[in-house]
Amino acid sequence: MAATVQINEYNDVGEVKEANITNSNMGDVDDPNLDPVANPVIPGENTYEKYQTLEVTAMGGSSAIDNLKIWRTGALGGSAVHMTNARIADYAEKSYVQPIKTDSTQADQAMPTSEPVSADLGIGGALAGSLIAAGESDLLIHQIQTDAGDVAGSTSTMNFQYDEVS
Amino acid sequence: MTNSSKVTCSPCQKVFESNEAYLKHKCAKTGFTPTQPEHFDALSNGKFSLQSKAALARGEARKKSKK
Repeated sequence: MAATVQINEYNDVGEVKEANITNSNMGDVDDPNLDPVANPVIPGENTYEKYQTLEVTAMGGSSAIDNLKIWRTGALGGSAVHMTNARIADYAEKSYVQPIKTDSTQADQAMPTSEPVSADLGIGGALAGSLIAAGESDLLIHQIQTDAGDVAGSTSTMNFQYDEVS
Repeated sequence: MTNSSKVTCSPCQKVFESNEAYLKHKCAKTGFTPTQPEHFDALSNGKFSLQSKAALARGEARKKSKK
C-alpha cells in the first residue's frame, strides 16, 4: 500500500480549506475550482492569489514523503507572468493571508516552467523537510499577473511532484 | 502552517468542522475515505496509483544513491 496524497486550497478570510481540489483554475474570484469563463481577469490586472498545500492523508506503510517540486508546463497567454513563493534557494515558509488580486508580495519569484533540480517547496519550513506522518506541506502561493495587451486566457498544467520512501 | 476553520471535501462538497472528521468520512462521490488509495484512483481513473509508483521509485532511487 502507498501513501495517499492530495492537493488542498485555502480561501477567504477564514482560511477555509477545500480538500483535494479538482483543478487550479485562476481568475477574478477567491474560490477553489473556479470557473475562469465566468470570472475572467481584466487585461492588466491579476488573478487572486492561490494558497495551496500538498497533504499526505495516510502514510500507507511508507516512512517518508519529501523532495517537493512545483512547476508549470505550458505557456501563458500574451505576456502574462506567473509568480510564486516556490524557490530552490533562500527559502522561507509563508503564512496564510487572505488572498488578494493586487500584486502579491508573498509570491515574488517566477514559477518554474520545467522540473526544478531540487525541492522548491518546503515541509515544516525547510526544503529538506519530510512528512513522516499524515500532514501538510508549507503553503504554495501563486498568482498570474497579466499585461494590458493580453486579450485571451490560456491553459497550462501545474505539476506537484513528491518522492516517497518505503 | 495552516489554521483552517472548516474543511470541504471537494469531490462530494460535504463540509466538516475538523480535518480529522474529513479524513474519516466516506466520500459520496467515490465510496471511500480520503485515506484510501481507492478514493484517489476513483477520482483519477487509476492515474493516482501510477503517480504513486513513480514517487516511490524516485524515493527509493535517492535512498540508494545516498548509501
